[in-house]
Amino acid sequence: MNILIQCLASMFASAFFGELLRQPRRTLPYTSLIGLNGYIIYLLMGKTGTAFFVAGLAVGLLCELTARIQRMATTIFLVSAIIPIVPGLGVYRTIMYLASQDFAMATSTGVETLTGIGAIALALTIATTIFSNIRLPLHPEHPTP
Amino acid sequence: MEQAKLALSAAALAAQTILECSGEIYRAEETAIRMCEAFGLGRAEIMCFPTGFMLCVQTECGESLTRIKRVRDRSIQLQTLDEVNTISRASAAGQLTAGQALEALERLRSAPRPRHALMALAYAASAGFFSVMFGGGWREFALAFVAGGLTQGLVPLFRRLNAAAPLISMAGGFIAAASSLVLIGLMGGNQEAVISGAIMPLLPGLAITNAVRDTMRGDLVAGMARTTEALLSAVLLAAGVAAALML
Repeated sequence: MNILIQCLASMFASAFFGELLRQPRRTLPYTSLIGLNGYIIYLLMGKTGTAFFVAGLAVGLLCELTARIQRMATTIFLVSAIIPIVPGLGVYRTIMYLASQDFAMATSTGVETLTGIGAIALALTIATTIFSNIRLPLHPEHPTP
Repeated sequence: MEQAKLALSAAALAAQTILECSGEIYRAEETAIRMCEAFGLGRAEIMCFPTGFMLCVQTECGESLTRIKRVRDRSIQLQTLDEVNTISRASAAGQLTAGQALEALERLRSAPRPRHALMALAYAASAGFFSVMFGGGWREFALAFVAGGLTQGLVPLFRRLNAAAPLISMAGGFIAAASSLVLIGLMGGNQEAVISGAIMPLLPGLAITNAVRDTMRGDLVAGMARTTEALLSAVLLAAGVAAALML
């Protein structure tokens, strides 16, 4: 039950975050669903470093695909769709340990958080590279964005 | 000649708008070049940085025209980014003349910004839902909602003081964490869920995403500049939160 509520929260958080970034309103349903999808993959894989990577890859590929279909820039979709799996809790815990001068815990939490961010960045890069090398037969008269 | 100048102005304004809305470097460069081509200007060269650009074209009579523009105000405006994209596509398809494109861009740039209240509401709601995602319940949702609304409500005031961008990020972290702590002191609740939810929208997500995308495209200068920007604002955000926690 808790998990279900968290998943729903991730979807709404992503939608309102998109509004905060002044994302075009008609793209909000797509990004919140992609965000939900990424968060579910992340939970199913047990919140490990690999989970960040696989969830990030799924989000990246779905965003690139949606951007192609909608003929819009990928960035518009990417930022709010990826936000549910960004390790905000890890960032907070690192700051908390630093503030209480527990440097051993701060280092290990910090490195774990950075690994997560690095895995997401790598996954997004791979997704972009995959899509920049294939031409979808969606809108053949125009070059892809 | 007049026509060429008009076309160059339209292309330069498009590039400037993309940079001001935090678009990627290659998008600004490609848009400007595509528009120059669409408006019948000959060879165009552009050199773009996150903080400005130089655009140079050669007209048919062999003269070269240059526009140099320093970009100072950068904010996140994905809607505007999308509209510039639409204008550039329409120009490339021959549906807009240079004059019409310039007019459309100017109209776009003078469009009213969304209300502060709406942005504060969006921040508040996303902060609330993030705190639920991090294991909070109704109480945490409500507290993060209020703290988030306060943060987004107060941060624009710092911007009006012409404070440096990293300092604004620090102030944001401080306000989010301090107001969360005060609210938790008054009403109780899970501190971890509330504060991490409230600072989540401040994390430099777009800056990191763009830094990676720019670097992978080979725009190394822009990539490094944006990486530094993202790191700096993340570190100062942490400093702001830590300051509130230590008080």
